[in-house]
Amino acid sequence: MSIRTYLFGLFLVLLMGGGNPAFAQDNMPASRSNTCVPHSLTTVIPMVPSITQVLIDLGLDDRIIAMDTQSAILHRPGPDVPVFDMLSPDIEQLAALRPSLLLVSSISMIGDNDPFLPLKKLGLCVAYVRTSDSLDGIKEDLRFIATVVGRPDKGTEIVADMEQQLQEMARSRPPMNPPLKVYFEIAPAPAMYSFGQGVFLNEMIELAGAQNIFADRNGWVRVEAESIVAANPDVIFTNVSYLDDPVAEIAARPGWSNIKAVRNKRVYAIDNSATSLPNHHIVEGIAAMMKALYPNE
Amino acid sequence: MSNQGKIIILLGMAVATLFFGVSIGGANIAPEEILSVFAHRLLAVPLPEGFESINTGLIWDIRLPRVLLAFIVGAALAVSGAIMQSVLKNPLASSYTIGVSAGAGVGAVIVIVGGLSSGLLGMFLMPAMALSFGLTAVFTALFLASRINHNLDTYSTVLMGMVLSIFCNAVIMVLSSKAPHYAQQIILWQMGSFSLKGWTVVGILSVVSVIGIVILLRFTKEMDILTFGDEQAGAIGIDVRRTKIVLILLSATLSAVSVAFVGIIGFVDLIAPHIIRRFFGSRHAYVVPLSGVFGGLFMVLADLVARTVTSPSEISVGAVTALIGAPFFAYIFVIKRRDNGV
Repeated sequence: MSIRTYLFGLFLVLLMGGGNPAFAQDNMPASRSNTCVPHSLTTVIPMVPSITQVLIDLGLDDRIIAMDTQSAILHRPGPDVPVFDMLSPDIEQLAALRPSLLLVSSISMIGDNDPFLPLKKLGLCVAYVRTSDSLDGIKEDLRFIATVVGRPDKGTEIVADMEQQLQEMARSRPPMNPPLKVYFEIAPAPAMYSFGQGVFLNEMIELAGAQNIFADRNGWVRVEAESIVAANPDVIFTNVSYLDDPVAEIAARPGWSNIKAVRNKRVYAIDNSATSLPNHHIVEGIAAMMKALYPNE
Repeated sequence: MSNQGKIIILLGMAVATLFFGVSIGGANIAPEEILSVFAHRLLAVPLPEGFESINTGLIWDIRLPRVLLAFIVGAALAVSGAIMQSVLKNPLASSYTIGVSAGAGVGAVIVIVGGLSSGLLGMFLMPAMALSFGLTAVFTALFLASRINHNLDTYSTVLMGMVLSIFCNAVIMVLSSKAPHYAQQIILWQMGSFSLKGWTVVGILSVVSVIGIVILLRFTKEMDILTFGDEQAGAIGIDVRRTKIVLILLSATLSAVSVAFVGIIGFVDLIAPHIIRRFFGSRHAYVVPLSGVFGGLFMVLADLVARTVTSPSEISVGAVTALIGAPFFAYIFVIKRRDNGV
């Protein structure tokens, strides 16, 4: 694999955090079939940050003996925890760790290439989790992971908790007619990226009671400046994490000062992991958006 | 047709392209509105009642600088390509061949990986580092080449440029694999874009490009003579080494400045000089300035396609230059040649 392909794959992973329906060909084994369920789970290695977070919330953090580089950026494990690249992992070192279970995401598959296949052939237990693009899919994945690691009850509990919080939010949401128009940016200028239908972030904006200005598009889109300005959003969100001040960067863009959101100082930074990893923490992302959308509630 | 006639057609095409570039965009704005923005900004004519202020910003601060920037960068890259092809006597040469883009890439990646690319500091640090590293790469290549051959013959220069490019690309790979967190930013920088650069960048680039191109135009006779070969040129009285160094450094500066501000955009520097030579012959007094005009109009068109065809999405302009450029290039050279019975 050339360094370009590798970097581009990595870029997609970074962009999506853990799941990307539009780019990653989702031709991995369906999560229900072709999956290994360990008899007893003493050690586990997650290979994508969204799963690492779920394992920690299932109370399994003391059994995580290694993780992927992106999870390590987020969770900063101790020096004794080895870290692996999710696209080209060091298979020998992984095998030597002999985990009871390796949890892999479909994001690691590029085309038909499954970098973890050699481990399966060695007889290690590998479970594949597909990448979800909707709230329902996220709930289903959570139950699935909980079942594979032998904590189905805890999984059901987290999902129930998530549903309850969502209901409370729906109740507390003030009626807005028409709903506020939102532009949500996941990569800054000059190559700005946003998303349309079929991305869980679009559903999150709707659950917050607002409307995505690119709701008529599909998947992740690289957007062009003029159409954003012409759409004149009421509120702008950014989850860009690698700029010092992504809000100031947006406000300073040439020609953007007349956008309602910029003029009314309604450009907000939203926590990246709560809006990029497809798991139950998106509820926190929705709550953060609602707080910014309805400051007086 | 006489060259004068062809020049008028080419200039007419350039003006038309600029006009289309400004009138078409992701936001649908009527021509009379665009005209009133121009009248308002240039002649201080008040805007009509009920004019949406957001459209003023759209035309004047987003679309117009973008179109002008595309033209300037296209022109600078094409002129630079014309000079390099001539000096290195290689139809595939460009300033990228002797290490400009790879060197600039190292400079930009150091800034990105160092986490210094954001904010006001980054706005100036990025281009400054890209420019200085791009030029350092060229200096190094020329220095090494002149140790092999005093007159900087084509083989030594291209060889050293390639060695340096390969080395710089390896440095970029190592840096980006050590900092996966920044991989996205690095790739996006390498893809190049004219989006949201604003008037400051337009100003800087037009000053540098105009000065560079004007100086280069003073050397068109020397370039004509150099095509006879280094020895003959020397016999006629040209200081081959000095002329080559000046030409290479100037054209490298032209493209390095572009790369520094808008990223790496390929292909226009390769095709523009070939197309101009095809229609105007190989006298450098024509090839150098007209390559600039063609490169500018070609880049405006490519960027127009990049930002409108899939609107509101945007395609990388570098991808468009190759997508339009490659078939067009093939058409000019295969079909046209056959028609002419050559």
